[in-house]
Amino acid sequence: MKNTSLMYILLPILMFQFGCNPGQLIVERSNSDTTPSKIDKVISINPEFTSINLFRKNEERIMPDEGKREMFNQVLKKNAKESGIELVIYDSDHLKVTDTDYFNYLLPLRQQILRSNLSQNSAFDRKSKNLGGHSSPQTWTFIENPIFDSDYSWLSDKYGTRYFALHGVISLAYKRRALLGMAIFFPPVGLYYLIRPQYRSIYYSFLVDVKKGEVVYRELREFGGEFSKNNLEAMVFDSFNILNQQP
Amino acid sequence: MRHICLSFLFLVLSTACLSQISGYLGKRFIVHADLTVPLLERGYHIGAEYAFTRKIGMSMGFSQISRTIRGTTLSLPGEKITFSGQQLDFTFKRYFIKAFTAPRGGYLLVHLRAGQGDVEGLAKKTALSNPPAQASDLLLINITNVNVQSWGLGMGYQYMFNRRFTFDASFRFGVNNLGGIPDEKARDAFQEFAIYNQFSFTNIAGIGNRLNFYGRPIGLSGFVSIGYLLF
Repeated sequence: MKNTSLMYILLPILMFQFGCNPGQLIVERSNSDTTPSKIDKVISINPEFTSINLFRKNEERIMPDEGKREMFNQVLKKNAKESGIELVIYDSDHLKVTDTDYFNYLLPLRQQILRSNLSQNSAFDRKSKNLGGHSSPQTWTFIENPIFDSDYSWLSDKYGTRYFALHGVISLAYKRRALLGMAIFFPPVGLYYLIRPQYRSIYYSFLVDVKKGEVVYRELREFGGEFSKNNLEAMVFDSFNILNQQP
Repeated sequence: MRHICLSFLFLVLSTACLSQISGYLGKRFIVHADLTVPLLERGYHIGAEYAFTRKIGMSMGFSQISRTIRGTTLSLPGEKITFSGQQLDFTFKRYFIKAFTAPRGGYLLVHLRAGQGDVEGLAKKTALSNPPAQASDLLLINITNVNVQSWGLGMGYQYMFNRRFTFDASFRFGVNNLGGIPDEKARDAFQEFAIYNQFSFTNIAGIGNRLNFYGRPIGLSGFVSIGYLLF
């Protein structure tokens, strides 16, 4: 009986360590008048997986992670398919010599989407919609959709869909706070904190309608922890699931 | 109890049609088994959890335990209590990591447990504050159909792996209530034994069980379970 007491002391500490981090989920989308009930096909332009490790030297801190990026692409495709969406990914790692569209049109479109989302403050409908169930995150509906250059509308005919998307992941590793207090009161945990960095992970996605030149959906999820395939799958599946819900 | 079980079942069926709740990869129903019960209480525990909304999950379980607790070196030699019985438990979970949907991630919980069983063994008659007692002060306890209730508050974390399997670890502070022992002496002896030997009737009690909350022992318990996502 005495031997098990250690478990009861360690378990709450571990729970607070891994559990007490609500993170956030922000979903902003167009209203039901401008969004169709079902999105069948989406073109994803160059999904990114970026690791920022502040434990490393300056020149090695921001590292595009090719292995994880490949995994991210697979997770996106798999979960889109499970949600009934055909996702076609165009990324810089799998280009052919004939893929001139990527540099001429898709990459500039990507920059346009990012710029329009950064530069436009959107007003939201007060009647935000609950995502399902008590005290769950809410979706915010644009009164007017953010806009971008409409010169790309012809892409909808060429690629067979008017919906283009950006998906990305940022994994941040940094030093923890309150190391001294932990080292004094819980030496094993304090030591663990010294060795292992703290992680924050961000997943984002933007969906635009190139025919209208409007942003129809954008989402940001953030939590305290390291990215794993399981984490990513949980978020990406939910993201595609929300996408196909009527706003 | 039968009404509560049926209510749970109907609630599960009635909310299954809520299409807006995605669950983990579209699945919201888990069958699980607690690992601490076979390891520490010589029994088994099986249960099921259902995520009703993006943040709320409810779990129901059944356990069969047979547990013997021997007195510590400070108590009288030969002092021990065996409890064997069945219990039903209900756990309401409020998941709080917004980036994920239930049943994945960290959660706060409210735990209710009720059951019935038999107690037998030897426990000291006198209070702990009295001078050291003799072996003759041991009281033979043999009571059947003892009612046990407990409730607790705590938190936990549910991990998923291989898309189908779950690993759930939680801890909780609980208050235990023992009823149905008509013999007051036997009841007091048992309560005292439980408090002194860090034994909680319904949970595996830890450090907190030395406290006595209005005559009811409170304890810190830990639970670890594995499960399978069915649908």
